Amino acid sequence: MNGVGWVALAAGWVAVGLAVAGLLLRQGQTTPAALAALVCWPLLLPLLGAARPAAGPYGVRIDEAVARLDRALREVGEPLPEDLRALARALHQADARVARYDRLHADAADAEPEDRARLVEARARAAGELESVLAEVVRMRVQVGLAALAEGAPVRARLGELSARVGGVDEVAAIGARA
Amino acid sequence: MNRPSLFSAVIRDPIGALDRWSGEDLGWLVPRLGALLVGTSSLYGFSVGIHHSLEQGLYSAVKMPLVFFAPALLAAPALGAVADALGLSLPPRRAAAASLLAMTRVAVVALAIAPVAWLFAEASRNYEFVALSTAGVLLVSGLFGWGLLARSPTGWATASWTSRAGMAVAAALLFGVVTAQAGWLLRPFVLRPRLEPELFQAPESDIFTEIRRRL
Repeated sequence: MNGVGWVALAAGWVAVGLAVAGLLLRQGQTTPAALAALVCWPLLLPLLGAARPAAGPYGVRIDEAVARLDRALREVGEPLPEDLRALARALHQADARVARYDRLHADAADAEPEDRARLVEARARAAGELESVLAEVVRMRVQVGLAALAEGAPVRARLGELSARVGGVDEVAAIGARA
Repeated sequence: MNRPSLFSAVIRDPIGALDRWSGEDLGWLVPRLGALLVGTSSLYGFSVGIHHSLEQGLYSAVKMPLVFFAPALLAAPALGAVADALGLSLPPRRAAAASLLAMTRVAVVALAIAPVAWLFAEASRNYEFVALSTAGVLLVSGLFGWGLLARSPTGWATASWTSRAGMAVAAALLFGVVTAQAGWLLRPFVLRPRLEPELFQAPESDIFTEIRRRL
């Protein structure tokens, strides 16, 4: 390859980097990540198509709790990626509901005090249920680490239960709102 | 482990860093590790070229980051594919993070050893000795990156010994070959004393043909 060829290769490389940087910015990634993509785009390609960072108040904790449980399960040779993805999805949906209550509450400054109180109570119930499921995930990780729950089938069943439980956050919150 | 401890994590606990930052945090990790890699490899390149002249030192400082970046950018997908073929789990984000972490680790260690090599190079003023000591520094520092790459798949500790050995060999071959060829294409770094400093030499062949010819 001659000098022109190298320049064309470099220009093509940066052009692809520009496209990847634009997509990353649209996806909600930070400016440093987009700038790094100009040169390091092969390393950042796996981020394309990834879900946006969780917007709810429990987003980070959910990701960390699920990632740790995933790691613990892999360490004991029982990886359950699909079940964990389902649990993470359910937890994030519940988290989004909590965030929705927060937004409603912030927008309801002129609402009746009773309505605001019902909103606060619904939010507290939803958040409480979410917290309780997150605590259960942490407990499971410890049990897996202690080899008390190392078999795949029971773990899968527990994950299914938790996904169903967190999927009912709306109903739990609605009970509070009706009361 | 918190985020400000990235530098010490690269040296002390690279697998922990990989576990912590190879998911959603990849967008946080890449620019920071990239900056660390550019800074350390550029200083290392300067220390290699300065034995000839300031000009050659500056040329090497510009080119050395490319040598260290090339394996991370080009070999990461192959690393993930090899791990899959060996029955190990190395998702694309983890492969990308492992590749960049490994090359950053190599650059940091190379820079740490550079003053020792520089001391001997200055004392000897011998081109062959400087070239040999540079190769030696890269070989020793390369071991630190290789160790990380070989252990990068999740569940590595519980995998069969054949999978682990296969991963170790594949990581050495992949990253070794790309680093060697990138270094050859971007030469010279160590320049013979009688030659004028130059940024690039025209590529004539590949590194393996050249080694065979010289042998």
